[in-house]
This record gives sequence, C-alpha cells and structure tokens, in this order.
Amino acid sequence: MNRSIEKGVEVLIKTCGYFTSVVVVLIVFFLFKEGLSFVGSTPVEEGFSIVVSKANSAITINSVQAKDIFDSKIHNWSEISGKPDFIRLFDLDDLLEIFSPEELGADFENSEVCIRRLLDSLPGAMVVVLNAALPKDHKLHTLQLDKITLYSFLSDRQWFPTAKPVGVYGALPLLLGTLLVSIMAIILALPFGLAGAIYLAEIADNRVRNWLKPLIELLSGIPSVVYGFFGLVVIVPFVQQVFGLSVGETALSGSIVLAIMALPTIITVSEDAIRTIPSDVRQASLALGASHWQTITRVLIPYAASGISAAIILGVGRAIGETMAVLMVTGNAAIMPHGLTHPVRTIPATIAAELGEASFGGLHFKALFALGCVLFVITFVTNYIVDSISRKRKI
Amino acid sequence: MIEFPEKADQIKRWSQIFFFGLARILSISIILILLLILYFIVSRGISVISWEFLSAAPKESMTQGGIMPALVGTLYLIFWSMLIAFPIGVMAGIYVNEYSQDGRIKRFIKMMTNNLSGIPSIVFGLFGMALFVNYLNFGASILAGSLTLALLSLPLIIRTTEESLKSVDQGFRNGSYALGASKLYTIRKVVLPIAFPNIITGLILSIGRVSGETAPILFTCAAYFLPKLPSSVMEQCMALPYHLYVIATSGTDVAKTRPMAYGTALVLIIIVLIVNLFANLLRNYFASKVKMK
Amino acid sequence: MNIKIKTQNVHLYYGDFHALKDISVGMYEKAVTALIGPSGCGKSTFLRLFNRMNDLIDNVKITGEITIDQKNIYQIKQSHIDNLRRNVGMVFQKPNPFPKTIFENVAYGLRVNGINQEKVISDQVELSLRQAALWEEVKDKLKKSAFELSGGQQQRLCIARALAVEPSILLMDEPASALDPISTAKIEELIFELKKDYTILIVTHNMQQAGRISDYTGFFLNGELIEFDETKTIFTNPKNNKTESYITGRFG
Ligand SMILES: Nc1ncnc2c1ncn2[C@@H]1O[C@H](COP(=O)(O)OP(=O)(O)OP(=O)(O)O)[C@@H](O)[C@H]1O
Ligand SMILES: [Mg+2]
Repeated sequence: MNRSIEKGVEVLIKTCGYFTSVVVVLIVFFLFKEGLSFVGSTPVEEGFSIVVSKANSAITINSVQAKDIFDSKIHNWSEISGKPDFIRLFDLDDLLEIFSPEELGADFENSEVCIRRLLDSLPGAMVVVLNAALPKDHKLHTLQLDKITLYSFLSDRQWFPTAKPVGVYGALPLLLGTLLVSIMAIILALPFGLAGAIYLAEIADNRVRNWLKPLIELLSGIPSVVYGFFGLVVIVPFVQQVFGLSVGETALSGSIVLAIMALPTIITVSEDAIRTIPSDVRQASLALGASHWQTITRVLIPYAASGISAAIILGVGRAIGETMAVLMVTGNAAIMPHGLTHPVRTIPATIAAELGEASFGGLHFKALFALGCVLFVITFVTNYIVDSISRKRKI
Repeated sequence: MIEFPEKADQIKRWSQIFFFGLARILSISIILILLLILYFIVSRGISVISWEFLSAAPKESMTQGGIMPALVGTLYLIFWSMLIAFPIGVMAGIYVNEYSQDGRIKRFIKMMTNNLSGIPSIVFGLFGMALFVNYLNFGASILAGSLTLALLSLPLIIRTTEESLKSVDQGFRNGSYALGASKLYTIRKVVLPIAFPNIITGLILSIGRVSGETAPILFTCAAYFLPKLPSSVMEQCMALPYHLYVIATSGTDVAKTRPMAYGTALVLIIIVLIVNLFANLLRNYFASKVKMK
Repeated sequence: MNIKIKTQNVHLYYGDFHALKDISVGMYEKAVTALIGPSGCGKSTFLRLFNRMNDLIDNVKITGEITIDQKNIYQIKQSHIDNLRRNVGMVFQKPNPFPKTIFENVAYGLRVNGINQEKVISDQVELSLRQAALWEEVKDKLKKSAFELSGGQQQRLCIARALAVEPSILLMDEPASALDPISTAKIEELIFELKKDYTILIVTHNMQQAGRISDYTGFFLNGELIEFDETKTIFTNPKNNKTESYITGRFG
C-alpha cells in the first residue's frame, strides 16, 4: 500500500479512537446547555407577564403559591403575606370585555393605560397579558416570582410543568419515584441474582453452565418495550389482583419488571467476581473442614464483596436510566410516592412522556433537559463508583 | 484439646444440602421467568403472524392490517446506524488495542467508552434531539435516529473488537513484523482476519440492541403512524419497538389492538432470538478455531 | 519412630493423564519430610492426597491404599472427611488469608466446625498465634484486617489458622517460595519448632532449604517417586543417578 494512504488510514484510526470521548463531551455540552439555562429562569409561561399593583409587586411568591392562586385555592393577598384584599384574576379576554376596542387601541397601544386604570380601581387584581400586547417600555409592575434554583428544582414537591401561566417545577417526586422503583427492583432481584451467580460460579457443572449462560444473556437481549408489554399484560394484572388494587400500574409493578431486567447484569458481574477469587482461598477454607456452603458464605462472598457491590450499583444505575418498561407499567402519576402499591413517575418516564408536547426551547423543554442532566449525573456517579471498585479489585 | 461437636458436621451437611437446593431453585426460577415471557408472547403472537401481518400497513386505527412500515423502518434504522457505527467502532477498537501505547491514554479512552455505555438511552434521545434534530437541523428523520442509535451502539462494538483483537496471539503479529510487514499491513492482513468472526459478534449483538431501542428514537425519528414507506433518510419512519409501545398503551380499543401488540412483540423477540443464536454460533466457531491452532 | 502416613501402590489420573505412578512410601511421625522434584512432577498432587483435596477436581481417579494412623482415609464415610481435614492442616504457596480480621482468620476453623464458646475460641486463637510465632507481633491488632500484615506475617497467620483446629499433620506446599529471605528464615525456624508436635510434609524447590529443615526427603520425577530416604543420605549419597543429577542441579 502507498505510504501516504497508510498514514492517512492511521490518522483515521486514531481519530476514531478518540471518538467516544468527543461524543461524551458533546452529550455533556448539549445536555447542560439546555439544562443549565433552566436554572435561574422565572417559571412564567414564555411571552406572558403577570401585572400587579405597585404595592403588591413588593411581594415575592413561589410557583406553588402562584399555581394555587390560578387554581383559585388562594383567594386573598393576606394568604401570601400581603395586605388583606381579594385577588382578582384577569386575562386578555377579560380586558377585551371590560374595555372597548377603541379604549385599548387596535394593536393594544393603550393597554398600559387600561391596565393601570384597572389596577387603580381594583388594587388586588392580577392581570395576565401577552407581552406582545404591552408596549416594550411599559412602566407596569409585575408579580415577583421566586427564580428557579438548583435547590428548588430538586427539593420542591410538585411537578406541574404545564400549569398556566405559572409552571411548577419540583423534581423531588420524580427523583424519589425513580429511586423507589429502582432500589426496590434491586432488592427483589438480589436474592435471585446472587443465587444465580453462586450457582453458576460454584455449584453448576460445566455442562449446565454452558446452557444456562446463553439463556441469561438472552434475558438481557430482550428489548425494554417487550418487557414493558409483558409487564402490562402479566405483571400489572397480577399486582392488581394480589393486592386488591383498583389499578395495577404501580411502583411495585415497575420494580418487578426492572428486577427481571436487572438480573443478567447482577448475575454476570457477581459471577465474575466470585470466579476470579484465587482457588487457593477456596481450598484453604475446605482444608480446615468447612463445607462448600460455609466456604461460599463465609469466605467467597466476603472476598467478592466489592465485585458484588459493583454489580448492585451497576444494576441500580441501569434501573434508574430505564425508560420504556417503566413508562408502561408504573402508572405515571407525578406526585410524591405514597408507597409501592401506588402509581409513581420516574425521571426517564417523565422525559419520554413530556418531551413530545413541550414546545421547543421553552421552559418545559429546558426542564426536561435539566432532568436529563440529573439522570446523567446519577449514572456518571454510579459508573465512577463501579469503575473505582473494579480498579481496586485488580490491585 | 478442643472437642469438636459431632452434631456440627451433621448441621453443616444438611444446611449445605438445603442451601444448594435453594440456590438451584432460585436459579431455575430465573429461567422459568424467561420461559414465561417467551411463552406468553409466542403463544399469543404466533396466530397473529401471517404474510399479511408482515406485508401490510396498520389499518382501522391499528386494530387490523400489519406492521410492514414499522418492520421496514426498523430495518432502515439498523442499516444506517450500523453503517455509521461499525467502521468507527472497529477502528476505535483497533486504536485502543493495537496503537495506543500510553497506558494513561488507553485507560482514559476506555473510561470514556465505559461512560458512554452507561448513559441511559433516554439521554441519548435528548442528545439526538438537541444535536441532530435541532442544531444540525436534520429534523426528526431516519438520519437523526440512525446517528443517535449509532452512538449508542458504539461502546459494544468497540469492546467486542478490542476483546477479539486481544485474543489474537502476539506470535501472529511478530511473525508478520519479522517478514518486514508494516503495522497497518499486519493488522489488515493478519490480525483482522483472525479476529473477524468475533468482531462480527459485536456487530450482530448491536443489531439486536438497535432493533429494540425505543427511547433514543422517540424524538429523533419514530413516527406514530405513517403507512407510506419513507423515500429518503430525511423523512421520519415507523419502528417496531415504538409501534409496540404505541399499540400497547394508547390504543382506543385495547381488546382489539392486543393481538397486533402480541404479534409485534413476537417479531421483536424473534429478531432477538436470531441475533443471539447467530452470536453464539459465531462465538463457538471462533472458539473452536482458536483451539485448533 | 512410627510411620504416620503410608501409601501403597497409589496411582492418580487427571482424566487420561497419569499424574502419580505406583507410589508406595511411609512417612514418619513428628518428622519433617521434604518433597522435591522438577515442576509438574506431581508433588502438589501427592500432597493433596492426604486431605483428599484432589476430590474437588473433576475427573480425578485414585487407586491404591492411603492410610493415616493405619486407617484408610479413602474408605471413610463422606461425613468423616471434615474430620480428616481437621486432622490434616494445609499451608499454601502464596499467603491466602481470608477477608476477615486477624482474630477471625484463626478462629475460622473452630467456628465452621461448631465451636462457639468465645472463651475457648480466644484461648485457642492465642495459643495458635503463639505456636506460629506471630502473637507478639499481632496481639494489639487482632481486630485489624489480615490483609494489613506483611507477606511473611500473612503466611505465619495461615499456619496459625491451620494449627487452630489441632491437626496432627501439616501439609506445606512451597510455603516460603513467595517470601523474602528474612521471612523465609522465620518460617524455617517455625517448622523446626513445630516438628516436635506435628508430622510435616513440605514441598520445596529450594535444595538448601530441604537440606536444612527436613529429616526425610522424597524425590519425584514425572509422577514417580524415584527415591525416598533420610535427607542426609539423599543429599550425600543418593542411590539413583537421576536424584543425583537433580540435586547437583543438572536438570529441573
Ligand atoms: N486439576 C488438574 N487437572 C489436570 N491436570 C492437572 C491438574 N492439576 C495438575 N495437573 C497436572 O498434573 C501434573 C502434576 O501437577 P502438580 O501440580 O502436582 O505438579 P507439582 O510437582 O506440584 O509442580 P510445581 O512444582 O510446578 O508446583 C502436572 O503435569 C499438571 O499439569
Ligand atoms: Mg505444586
């Protein structure tokens, strides 16, 4: 081959070697670009302003209070530490009814004056207007809303991104839902996974191993939608009947499906950890008169403990990121989880269910990317832990 | 002098019998779960599968007809994503195993590849939407979907390539160098041919993975209903896993769409079975070849 | 002196591979017997006969008679194998402590065999550590992980672990080959002490070591026991010229 072509190919090979690193960097960039711009923004629907009187603009409320106001659960300014006065809500339609088109002007040129007149007569009013219907340099006072912070995003207990005109972006229910379903899944999977790993590594003879391993691999090859579908037609009705529930789409159903999906990971990684124990150690225990089972529980499992915990963490990490199966069987109620027999909503399921309806570049869209960032950080951390555990094991 | 209680040996023996039995039962129940899944889907899906099911588009709001556009869409996605990922993945594997000398760089690349494989598929979906659909303006299309899937399957291809190159005996390389062959020539003519069957297993396993992934194509490619086949890679397409999701969850008449869902699930399972069978056959073939030498 | 361990026409096969060929030998009580020979000649296999560790390997076939204290150890009930293994301790080439504390490593053999009075256990642990000449070095850190010890200390811990169940025989498979010279000297000293109470079989590749510590020596080659005699005789006046050429370093 021509020398220069050869050089070219080698450069190409080298480029490909770094490709995955570039992809990871790109993923971080695009994810966090959208996700971070979410933090610091005000949760008002884009293109709208909420106008209040000068006195009331001194009050700062949070998005949950705002939602309660627009849901007519809060009626008086005194409930949100203002002077007692009824809160009256107006939107553009209301303005069109109150004021004649001549008063407002054809292109809402006089909207500022009208709104000011309205606020003078009703100081407790709250007017939601399209920014386009207001002059650019208007001197009206807008409602002060808490900005979204990383802390509020992760700790607020309500998720109503589609509430109008103020969305509520508390990811805590989603975060807890995700953790509940995933951790429960691993708890369910662990006895089976450990038994499988012990059986494969220590008990089964080679012939049995040779046909068990491919079957377990097969389990990991089944697509997650198929697991979701299986969960929907088998596990959901099963959970519903056993616990006498009105709906079977619950956290528990999700955990069972995820447990099955996590089995191959737990089994293969733990089996590997047990198998790589020097055979000396096993023999030393047996040579002292210990039974094989005593050797397994008292020596081999402690010896493989770091490998087994890597398997568990890896399993949790995978379960946390799993989307479709969970989306199909957990009922997707974005509320604080009440328990295993209630519906929950996980972070991946939220992204999958809502991204389609979120307008591009809007606050909701950004919020979902922020959720993606949370997911990314969680899996990055689990990966890092697993990595450092397995590196330690090698030394 | 220590007196060892006679009874202890008995307890030891019986607890061993008990717990080994338990481990065996739990392991068997894992296999039973697998068989249960297969049984449910095969027994209920088999009667749905017919020539019409495979060759017709969904009809009557997905209660009739077939899955042809979804099947073809998935084939498109497999083809394009593998066309992109396979060469890059194999070359990356070659770089890691044959070229990178510095242990630190090698470890860094491995760590990044590892990280990439740990990223949840829905995050790939977000990324694909941000980069391919919006930033590069491909829109939701086969191209955007295939690129997203390609990135997702890279780590698997890289790792199998690396493993198979590693298992090629150093002697082959040294023999070739001794004859004055260049490094690239040695890789091309000596190392790759030996490692090839095993590298192909990586490709086949990735095909299995790509054919079943839903979350990454949710926003980058998959169409809810599109009876016409796409005419270019810039168009959207249907895909089997997404189609299954749609008919399993959002049908207006669940009882009528269920058979369609079972059929679709069965087709997906068959793809997975074929993929696994092929991968195992190739692996055994490779193992026997390695043993022979 | 009494013969403690005896083999009569013993053959061992790993599948088709004939690893031990017609071995008949008697080994004396409270003496150190060294087993020498080139790599792969079957020394470890021979050693594993006496605590029936070869049983754990698939496809092993053993014929012939092996007795300890005149009892055929291959004709005992399955349930007495634990008993046998308590009586025959084993120390391996590389130190292989369990992932437990120093104390629990030594206590392990007692606990798995049904001893659970803590007083008995702690007394026995101390006694065993003293016998293994390790007590003074570890008595203040019994609760520390065994992996925190040095290699030589770990190996003495493994010896203490074997002694704790009060065996009468110790099988040692190259116990010092992974250690530095000072640790090796300590182990040799220890073996010399232990000889008073234990019958010791030791595999070694180190001729000087065999000469220093053993009373008897057996030379293996390709699965055959070529020569067995007092160490003095083997090293000064071997009867078989294969033995001589091995000892003088002409092969192996
Ligand atoms: N589990 C086994 N299965 C099959 N063959 C074995 C097994 N263990 C040992 N062998 C074979 O039996 C022969 C004797 O092995 P053994 O380990 O007893 O040798 P050794 O004298 O201890 O060697 P070394 O000095 O290297 O430790 C060797 O040829 C080895 O390949
Ligand atoms: Mg040996």
